[in-house]
Amino acid sequence: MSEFDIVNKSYPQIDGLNKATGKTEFVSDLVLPNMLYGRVLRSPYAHARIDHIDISKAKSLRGVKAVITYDDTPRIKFGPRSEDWTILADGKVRFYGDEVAAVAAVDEDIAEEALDLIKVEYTELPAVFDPVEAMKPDAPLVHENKENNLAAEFKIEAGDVDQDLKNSYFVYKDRFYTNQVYQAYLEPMGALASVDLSGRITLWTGTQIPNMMRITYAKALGISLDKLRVIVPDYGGGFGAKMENNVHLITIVLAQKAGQPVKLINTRFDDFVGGNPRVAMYIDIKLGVTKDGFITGKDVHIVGTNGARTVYAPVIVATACYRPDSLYRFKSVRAIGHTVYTNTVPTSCFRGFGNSQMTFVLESALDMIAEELNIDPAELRLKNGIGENEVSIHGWKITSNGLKDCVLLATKKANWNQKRKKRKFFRGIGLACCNHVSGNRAFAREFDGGAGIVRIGRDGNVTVYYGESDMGQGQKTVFAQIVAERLGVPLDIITVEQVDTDISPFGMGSFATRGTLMGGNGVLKAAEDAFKQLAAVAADMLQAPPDEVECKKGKFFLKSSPQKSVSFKEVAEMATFKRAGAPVVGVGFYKPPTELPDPKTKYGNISPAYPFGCHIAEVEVDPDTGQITVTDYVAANDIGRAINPMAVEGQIQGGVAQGLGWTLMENMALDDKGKLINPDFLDYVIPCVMDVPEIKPILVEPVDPEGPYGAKGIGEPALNPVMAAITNAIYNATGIRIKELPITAEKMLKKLKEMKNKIK
Amino acid sequence: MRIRPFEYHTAETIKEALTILEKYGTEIKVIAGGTDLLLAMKQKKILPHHLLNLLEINDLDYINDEPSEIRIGALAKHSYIASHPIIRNEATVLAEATGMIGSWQIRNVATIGGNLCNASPAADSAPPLLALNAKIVIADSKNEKNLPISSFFTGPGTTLLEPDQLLKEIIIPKTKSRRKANAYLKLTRRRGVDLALVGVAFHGELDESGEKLKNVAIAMGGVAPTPIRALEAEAELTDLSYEKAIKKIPIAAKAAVAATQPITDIRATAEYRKDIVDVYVRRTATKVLNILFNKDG
Ligand SMILES: Cc1cc2nc3c(=O)[nH]c(=O)nc-3n(C[C@H](O)[C@H](O)[C@H](O)COP(=O)(O)OP(=O)(O)OC[C@H]3O[C@@H](n4cnc5c(N)ncnc54)[C@H](O)[C@@H]3O)c2cc1C
Repeated sequence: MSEFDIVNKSYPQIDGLNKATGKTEFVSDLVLPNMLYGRVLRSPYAHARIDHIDISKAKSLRGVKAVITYDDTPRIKFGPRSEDWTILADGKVRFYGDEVAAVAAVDEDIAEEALDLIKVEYTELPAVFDPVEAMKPDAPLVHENKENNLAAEFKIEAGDVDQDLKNSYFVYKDRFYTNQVYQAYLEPMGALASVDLSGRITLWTGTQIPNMMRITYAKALGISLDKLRVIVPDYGGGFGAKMENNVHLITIVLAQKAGQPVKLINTRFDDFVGGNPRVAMYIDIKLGVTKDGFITGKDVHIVGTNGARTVYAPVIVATACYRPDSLYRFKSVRAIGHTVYTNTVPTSCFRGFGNSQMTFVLESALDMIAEELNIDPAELRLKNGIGENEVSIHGWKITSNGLKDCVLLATKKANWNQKRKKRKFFRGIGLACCNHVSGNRAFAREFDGGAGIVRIGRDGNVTVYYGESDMGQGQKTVFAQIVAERLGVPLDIITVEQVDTDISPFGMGSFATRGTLMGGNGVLKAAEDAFKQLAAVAADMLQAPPDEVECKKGKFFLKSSPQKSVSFKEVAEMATFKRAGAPVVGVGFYKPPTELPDPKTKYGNISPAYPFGCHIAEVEVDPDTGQITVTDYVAANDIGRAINPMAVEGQIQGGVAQGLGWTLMENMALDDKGKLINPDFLDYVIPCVMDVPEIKPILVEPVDPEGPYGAKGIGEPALNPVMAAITNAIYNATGIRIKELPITAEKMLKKLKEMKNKIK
Repeated sequence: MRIRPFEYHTAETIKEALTILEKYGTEIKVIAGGTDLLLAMKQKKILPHHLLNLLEINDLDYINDEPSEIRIGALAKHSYIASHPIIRNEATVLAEATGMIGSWQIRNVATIGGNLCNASPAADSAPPLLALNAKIVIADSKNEKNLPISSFFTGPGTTLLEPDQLLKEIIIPKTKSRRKANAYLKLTRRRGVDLALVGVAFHGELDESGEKLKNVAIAMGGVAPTPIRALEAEAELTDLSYEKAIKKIPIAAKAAVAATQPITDIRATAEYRKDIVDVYVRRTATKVLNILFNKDG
């Protein structure tokens, strides 16, 4: 029997029924009176000068209410990390899909027709798409003032890498490439914007960072923060992509210009060419080991694609440079990361945030080292894995740590030892580990943490306000469970409100696998506050001191004599009467014991808790066609205590499926002019249900001292190890290591043929 | 990606449909399941001013089992064809191929007529019908004619059909062989909801003695401007005993590859498509031979 009533139990998502029956109103479903529909005209060139834009015809089309170009915007340079954005293109387009103009019209058909009537004259300019090419001295510049197209450089060093590599028994060296992939959420990006008579803007949008986005956008619009309200309705997924994007600002400017509300939802095409896909990276690695398999030094150089303007690529490249350094006991590490402008779509966050790219490389390298040393890959991980209550090379204080259990339980469940020994032709089994964070102080620079508000009205119903963002991953359900547990009430009297910057706490948002830990702690503290207020009233009613009362299953009772009780509803009613109608409002916050890393050494504990994982994939390779089938998958993840085990399993299964797609089929392909040639789901292939084997999740639950009820995060570590687990299995099946993702059947067959020719 | 306005017509009989077609000529397109047409309209590849809905036409979605042939109405849906006992027994290869089209949702609305008239070089129903020597019935307001399907496709997206004509039905002749077998293989980038990068249909029969292979037919999709037959490859295997045919399969496969002229595109290179033709001809041939000669392979 669990010590809990609600927490650590599997409940369906509290909004699941509404979603499954189509009742949920997503951003795309919202309608306001007099609302117009917006559309964006995008650049057909990767790099070009805009010589002339003629909007006169579009403007005179019946039903068109606004046509805007750069001149209609506030003309402010801005950006979340680097001021290299403008709301619409200022004289120059820098990628295929760059925003040139926009229209708002009474219906979508007219808006689309109006786009065709805008005449733009361009002069094409030389362009560059590959970040390594872009760094060369004679490469065309994406921004005239950015020398060598360098958007950012990141350096980190600890210990003496050169010495350690020199003294190593073996040093594995190689170059890997992780390609650009699209998040493929169900609902494309978009927004609804409305401007009131005072000029105050309300923006409804699916965003993972309502509060941080608001700061960036206020700057872009040249307004003070209080003039912009952001509301986050239910929205169809994000996986990291849904942060700042010009489409929201264009919606606002259209609404300002038209004097009517405007809804602008990307078509899938717009979303492919103008979204925020994953940062592609070239990664060079040198990894040293001793003869008996202890990792010595790691030396890494990364060149990552920023795209034509900076969203979050530099911090993602930085993360790739050092995050997995806290997975093992490295003696020394060094990394340089270059984030480079290219004439391609701006890149940004995608589940894993750079750690997934680097984990693919590190865990591939370890596999090769295991083979070289003739050590079992699982044993190699166990030997080097960081332990409980250790401090990593970058000063991360690892507290709860289930890494070892993840390896042991996964290998057991997958029958690893037997399967590694009994080799079958073209069948293989591979393993990979990962670490991650539950919040990233290096990203949330002003402060980190979470806050909540819990309101209980006369009717005894509970409303929870939080400041993160539920994009479908299940935050609302988890927060409801935490609050219900703390108050001692059933789940179904809890409502979790949408995030509204006018009402909700100032939350940092949903990224860095932080929601459950930060936001969860925030609402837990708020529930605690509310509980104390209610307990005081209940104590009065039961004529006992407040610390004598407890609440379970919606009933306050005395610890000493549980039969003396009064219902939660009655207490709520009494509390409201006593306070002349004021509801009970609990407010609370959680400030994690993290440190902003030292700017020079990057030393510092960036997260209150660190999740770990070990995944094992089995594959079958068709030697004639190159087709790869993942036949079995075991995923052990250390997630602290699972607030909702079923939701965790869902996250793991989704993460594995997404990683499988990246490994085997997904790729944003450009032609030689930098045009995306597969901006649709016909040719941007993501796995379907038949490509995904039964994924067997194992929940490893060391109770974390900082997590709410001991919970850590799962979002990103569900995906991080997948690429290496599968490619290591392919290596085990074929002896072939393909170092550039994705490994399509065609690529696989080519390598198989090359190998055959060598053997001949 | 919006659909431009158009005028909508609907017909309840073929005759009515043909009259409407005659009236509007090149201005009109017919719509069956719409799973190809609406996409093309969204992408502005075609902008018809009129659409004629065929789905209200009564009784054009039949599968009729007649003594010497099977007749399939142009409006028969893929899910119906794939699960129909007559097709599964008499034209297994067609059941297999239509069962691999798109997803359940697509197969429940998309028609075989639409698949053929859309004339994608990779249309999944085409190679089986080519391999089965099917005929098609084309109708206009004046008459009806009966053509071998091999003459129907004229290029990627084009057929013999005139704007005022309809594909009415497909006729699969029944052969009188003691035994026949066939199979379809389709290369996709994932295991469902994907177009055929390569499709190979293989058909074979036993002669009267029961010892030799006859009426070998190999048809391929996705490897030439239209679905094609590999006549030389077929000849390599014709009139051979099991043992000889099995040995000859690699040569036949090479001959099939020689008949292709695939392109390189985002889905696959020409070279890979050829490799797969080679593999799939070998696999389908082996499977069919083993069935015909009762071997467990
Ligand atoms: C998600 C998805 C997956 C798909 N997967 C596959 C696949 O795996 N394999 C495959 O082969 N196809 C696939 N398709 C394509 C399509 O579904 C098929 O080609 C389908 O059979 C078309 O039939 P329809 O009834 O929808 O045709 P429609 O779209 O209605 O018509 C297609 C064309 O044929 C014409 N037409 C239709 N019926 C007649 C008739 N009786 N006489 C004259 N002209 C006619 C129309 O004018 C139009 O030009 C897929 C499509 C989608 C959207």
